[in-house]
Amino acid sequence: MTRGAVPITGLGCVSAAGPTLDACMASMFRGHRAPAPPRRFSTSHSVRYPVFEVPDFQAPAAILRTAALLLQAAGEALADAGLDRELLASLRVGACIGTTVGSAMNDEAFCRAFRTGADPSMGPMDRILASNPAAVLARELGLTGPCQTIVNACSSGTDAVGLGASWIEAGLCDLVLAGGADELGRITYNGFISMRIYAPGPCRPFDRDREGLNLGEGAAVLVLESPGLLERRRARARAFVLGYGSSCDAYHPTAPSPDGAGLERALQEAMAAGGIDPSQVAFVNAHGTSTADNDRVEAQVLARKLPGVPFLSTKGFTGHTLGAAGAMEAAFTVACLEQGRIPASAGFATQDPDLGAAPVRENTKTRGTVALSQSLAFGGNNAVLALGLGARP
Amino acid sequence: MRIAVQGVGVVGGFGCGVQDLAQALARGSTPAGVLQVPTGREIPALRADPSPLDRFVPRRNQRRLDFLSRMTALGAHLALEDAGVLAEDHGALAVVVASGYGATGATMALIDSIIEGGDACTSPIHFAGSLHNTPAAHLSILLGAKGPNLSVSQFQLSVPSALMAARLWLEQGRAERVLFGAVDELSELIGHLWARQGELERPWGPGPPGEGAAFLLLSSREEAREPYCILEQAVTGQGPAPGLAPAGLVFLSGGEDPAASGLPTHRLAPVYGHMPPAPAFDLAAAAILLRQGADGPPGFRDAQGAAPESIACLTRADEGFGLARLRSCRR
Repeated sequence: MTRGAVPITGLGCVSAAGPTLDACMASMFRGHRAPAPPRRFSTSHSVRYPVFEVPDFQAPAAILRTAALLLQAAGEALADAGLDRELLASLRVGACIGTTVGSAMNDEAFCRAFRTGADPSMGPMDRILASNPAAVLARELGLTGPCQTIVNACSSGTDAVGLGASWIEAGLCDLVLAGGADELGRITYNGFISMRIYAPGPCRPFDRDREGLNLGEGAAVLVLESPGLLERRRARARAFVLGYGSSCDAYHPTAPSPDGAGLERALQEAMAAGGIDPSQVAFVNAHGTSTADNDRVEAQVLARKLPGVPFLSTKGFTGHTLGAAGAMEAAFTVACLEQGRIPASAGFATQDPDLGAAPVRENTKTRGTVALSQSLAFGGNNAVLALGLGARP
Repeated sequence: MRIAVQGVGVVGGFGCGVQDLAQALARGSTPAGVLQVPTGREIPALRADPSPLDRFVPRRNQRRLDFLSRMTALGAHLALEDAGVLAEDHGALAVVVASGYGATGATMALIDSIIEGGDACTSPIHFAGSLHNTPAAHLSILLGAKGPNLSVSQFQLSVPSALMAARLWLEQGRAERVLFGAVDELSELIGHLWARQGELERPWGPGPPGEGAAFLLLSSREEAREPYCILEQAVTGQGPAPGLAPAGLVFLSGGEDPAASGLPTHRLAPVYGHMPPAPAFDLAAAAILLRQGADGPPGFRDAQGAAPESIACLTRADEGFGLARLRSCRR
């Protein structure tokens, strides 16, 4: 079913690759990446597993770092769209944000004190309750529309953009701030290491010798605007959400279905919604976590459904930012469409014969105005966005 | 588009299933039990028992399910059974699950594993179980539900926000059936926060804290069975709620809202407790009462003393409002 294209008029992103979307893109095309042992927390692991931390960023005490990262990305996106608070106040504006830790009641210090029989201050819990990402955005910007924090694990950011676009299509909002945010923390770091899917060195998505993921942190926000508002403002769309698809493997809580059928369904739904033929796809921004299972399933699906279409993973530059990843990668996808090129898939060196496809090894020019950005998640969730180039630059 | 409530599945402090909830609604309240908080305090609470899940899922298949996921699975299976579709293939079924606090029991167990054994002994099982979408994941695996799948965590507004998404999926043709529900548990952490703060779930009106799962099977297709009622509206936003008239009754969770003034308003927390999923229980209660009509308990009449033709479920929290409107299928 072909639906209406939803204009994207502003983008904002903060990650280990840079404090703005432009800075991230410049850094990625330079091939720069700097995974390092965590600086903001310590652990007792014998291996110093690397992370992609956002440097020089301080969150205010009243809210979680996740929410603070989100506000920074939202500020950039709104400025990019030429929107100010006064105009926002006159519109029906929704907030649709993906996260994993931004809504979790998991303050370790509080729980340690609680477990040892102490009666800890409620401060940390109050801070969590005040930091629900979508609610923070609505509160700080005075938004009056629907508000939703999506917790679909690692596909949350992609789902947030897709569902936010559906609010525009349904006429629920004039404008939606859609995106994702997540911060690095000891608990998720320990958790992924415990699952034996964390690489001891820099991650190598789709490489034969990949050893697992590296965690990262960051946020991205896309300003989605109704065609009517776009016209009234005489604004220009940087890009369009052409389609969104999602599915569930219903296979395993933490492993993708080996046959990739769920991802195929999501891919098919997104392309059908946008009326997109495989020959139109310029490139795919893959989930590419650098884990054995994810990369195998994803590459095999791409080889079957989109043979010959260039693809990459940007997680070699940013780490896996969990609930933020899908939104960040959607923003990167738009920026790449605008530039007509994609960066080399960082960390990839040696083709894996089991995968049937390999990502780009160097910065690569692309042809076409449509690209896909996809996410797979714990819980078996698959989500795909079809994005089309707009009128800028 | 006509979106019907085809099945209701509930488990909470009042019991399990439509009959138990209907009886509790007729009584007007549920006697509270006691929750022992680790600091030694005791607080009144309405606890749920998910053991009837054994009727649907063999115990060996429940081994990886924690308490939150067991409540989820029970509520969902009850809703499908109630709709008469449990034995059907659920491959195209969409799933939407709302939770205010998520898997706080598994999160505490995860942190316990770190406290007790150090970072290297972090439990991978509890880590996987601590994710907010774990209940939806287990449910999808149990049912083979491969349609779109969404978990929402918006604290007190989780239910209205998730319901809006479920309704949109049906309207936009992404699914013909959505299994929509909400779940939260009174873990020792949440119990402690209740005992310590008392305002975790602002105790607007009477009623103890509660836990449980409430599921509705929403359908846009012609089903074999007569539906409970029609879901006419599901909206959420900031600021005051839109007008509620001509609702015959209003079920209110959370704070006061000017939109409810002058209409017969009920707070049902004494029946199932204060908790983020309470608005989903309000929806279940509304569906039951709309189907019962004049046979329902006399306590729920509209301003004219008649069985209601429509019920508005209003959620009011500091961050905004949620409003769902259900209409009877009776002529």
